[in-house]
Amino acid sequence: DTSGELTPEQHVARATLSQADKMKQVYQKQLASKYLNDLASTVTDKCFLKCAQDGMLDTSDQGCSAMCCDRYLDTFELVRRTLQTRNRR
Amino acid sequence: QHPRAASEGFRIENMQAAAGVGDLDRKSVKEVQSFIEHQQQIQQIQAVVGKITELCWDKCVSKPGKDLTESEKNCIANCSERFLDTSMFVVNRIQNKHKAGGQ
Repeated sequence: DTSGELTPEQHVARATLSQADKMKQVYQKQLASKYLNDLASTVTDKCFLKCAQDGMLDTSDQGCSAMCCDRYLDTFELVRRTLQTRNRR
Repeated sequence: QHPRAASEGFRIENMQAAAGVGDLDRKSVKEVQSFIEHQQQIQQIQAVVGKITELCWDKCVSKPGKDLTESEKNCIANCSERFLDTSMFVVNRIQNKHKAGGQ
């Protein structure tokens, strides 16, 4: 999303940033966007495999897809914490 | 001189346009370069976490429920540690073979 639409608050904040800060902001935003896209792609693949049974797929808020998505994110967080703890040892 | 955003299509020209800035002075270039390098280090770690998550999810979670069970959590934690053990082991072994046999 590279549209220039900002809120008034964002306009004010932007005006006081250095050029370097603005570049960093753009980079950060592009990075986050890519990260979310990659994550969504992975979770979709994984949860489709886990949840699409007998040609049925429950995409309701309480369904397999929702639980799968949430549990996958839980798993990600657990792995991150495990690695962090290991690194400290 | 432009900062080198080294990867994945983050083109400096596009970033400059999106940020609404012209050419940067040398100090700013260094600042952005340094920031990008730091972010990429974070990204590399993130990538490893992502990879291990994929592998350990497949191994440990057969049917997603309302929470991860204790059993699943233990499996995931062990799986992560064992993956790193394996990674270190393989790197060492390959290096030793290479030294010894010249492969």
